[in-house]
Amino acid sequence: MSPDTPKSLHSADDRWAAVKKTQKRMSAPPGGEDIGALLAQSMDAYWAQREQEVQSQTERETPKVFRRAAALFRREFWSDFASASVPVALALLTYPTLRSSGVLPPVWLPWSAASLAVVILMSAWLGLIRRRRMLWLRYSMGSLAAGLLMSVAVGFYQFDLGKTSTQMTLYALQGELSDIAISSLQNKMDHGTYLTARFDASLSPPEILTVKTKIFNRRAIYRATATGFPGELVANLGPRSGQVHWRSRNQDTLRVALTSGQLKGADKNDWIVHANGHDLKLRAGNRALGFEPVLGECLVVAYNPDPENCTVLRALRLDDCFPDTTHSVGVASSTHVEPTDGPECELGEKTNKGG
Amino acid sequence: MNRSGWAGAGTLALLKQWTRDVRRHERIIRAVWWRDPLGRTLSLRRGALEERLRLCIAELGKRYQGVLYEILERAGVSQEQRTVSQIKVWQETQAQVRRDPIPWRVPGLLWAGCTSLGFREGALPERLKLKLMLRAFVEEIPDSPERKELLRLAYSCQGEGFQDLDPDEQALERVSLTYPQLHHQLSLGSLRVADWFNGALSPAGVADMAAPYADFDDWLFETEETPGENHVA
Repeated sequence: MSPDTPKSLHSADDRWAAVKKTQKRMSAPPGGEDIGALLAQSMDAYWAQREQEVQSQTERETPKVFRRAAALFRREFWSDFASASVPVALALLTYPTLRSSGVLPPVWLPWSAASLAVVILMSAWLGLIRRRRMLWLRYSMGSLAAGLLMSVAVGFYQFDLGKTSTQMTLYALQGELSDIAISSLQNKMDHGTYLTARFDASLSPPEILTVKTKIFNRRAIYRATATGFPGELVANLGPRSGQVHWRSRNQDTLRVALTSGQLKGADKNDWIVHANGHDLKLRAGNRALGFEPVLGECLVVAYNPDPENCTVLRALRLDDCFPDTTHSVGVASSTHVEPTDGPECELGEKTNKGG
Repeated sequence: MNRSGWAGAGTLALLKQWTRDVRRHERIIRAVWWRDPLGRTLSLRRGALEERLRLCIAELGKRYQGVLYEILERAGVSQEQRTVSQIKVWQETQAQVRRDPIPWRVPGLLWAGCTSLGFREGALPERLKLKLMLRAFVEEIPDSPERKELLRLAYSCQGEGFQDLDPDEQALERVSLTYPQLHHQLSLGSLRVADWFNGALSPAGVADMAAPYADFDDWLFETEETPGENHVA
């Protein structure tokens, strides 16, 4: 047959014979199994096998370290972490209430932190012994992470309470030392001698207050320390004025200023005290006096030198008024503290009026 | 495409759906949360996807059942082994589709799956390859009694009772009437013919065909003159 001549169909008999032959070859095996249903059933096994292959391939392709790390963050991690985080969250939520109500004793914190660390280490160690391999980490990492978080929270409590405790001790020491300093300054101005203070006393437990005194010709230094308190408070008194500093870790913070002067004005809120040629405007604090102020009388005043505050902390009457002094007193000791009258609370220009 | 739509859907559309779902399934299987989080999210619908894949392959299995039995029979596979072999062929095809999810390559992969069963060289006549690949084009012909007749005689298993039937000239005539339409469908898809037939039939070969398209008769049915190794290119 030439390429241009279309091929013709065979005779009907031949074609039918071909159809029959084809049908015979296509006949399904005996039993008449539904190939569609069998194929659908076989898929599950095939997919499981395929999944296995892919998993093996992924494991081969992924670096071992990365696989380990990824395994740690599976659902075990999150469930352990979530369950262990609940007490942490509760502790954090209740902490402000416990702290403000004073229920929380600071003593339990170090012990609880240490106990927690021991529990975590013991459980980790037991897991290590049981499994003999590092696989225990996979099941313990969530707990460890939550434990770490808990330790951080406890550390925060410890820090916060420690800070609060330091502040409380500081105020107690400052109050004690201010009382000593103002009494000593009053005695110096009225009777010519500083008072000697050297004692151990109990503040609010467990701090023990220790005060030591050094007296020079025109100067007295009182040092107060307490157990567990960082640094010391130093009261440095001159003949007519003084200061109380907190020295801690090379830092020197002025806490209280003391001065002697004449009361020029007073109302229920403010005092004007003329001292060392300055007029000081001081806020009358609740603890300032046990007496009614009288204009013109001379006082020894301990006040907060913070310009935002300038509150009178203590005040004592003097028997006589001394002539005004415009210069700061000299420093007789080795201390570098220069007593001044705390000009931060100054009111107006310097004057030379006598007291 | 939903479950009820599959029975009436064309094989080509079914192959597209199947390859797309196989690709999705492969992505879900391969997804690791730190590498493919979206694929991991898709696994939430894995159950529905697998159900659709089961239905899809069941329908495809039914449609290709006849021609695959014919191929396996010609290859000398025993009757008992034909069902198992056919399942193996589909699994092998699915494995290849996972790497190369292109619908019009599926018939070629089915053929490759048959040959991968370890038949001797030249055991399978080339006309069966063409018949296998024509299956999807037959369903692209508009639905008609003629098309149904073609599917019945060329691709459906009629059972042993068929051998006792007298020649049915009208049936043969109806089959002949579908050949121009089948040729038309091949011409429409001529751009893909080379891919689709995996070299067994070229666009030029399609263009050379002329009425009454007796070649289709030779490819679809085992005529006495059908050469064992006829190759159309």
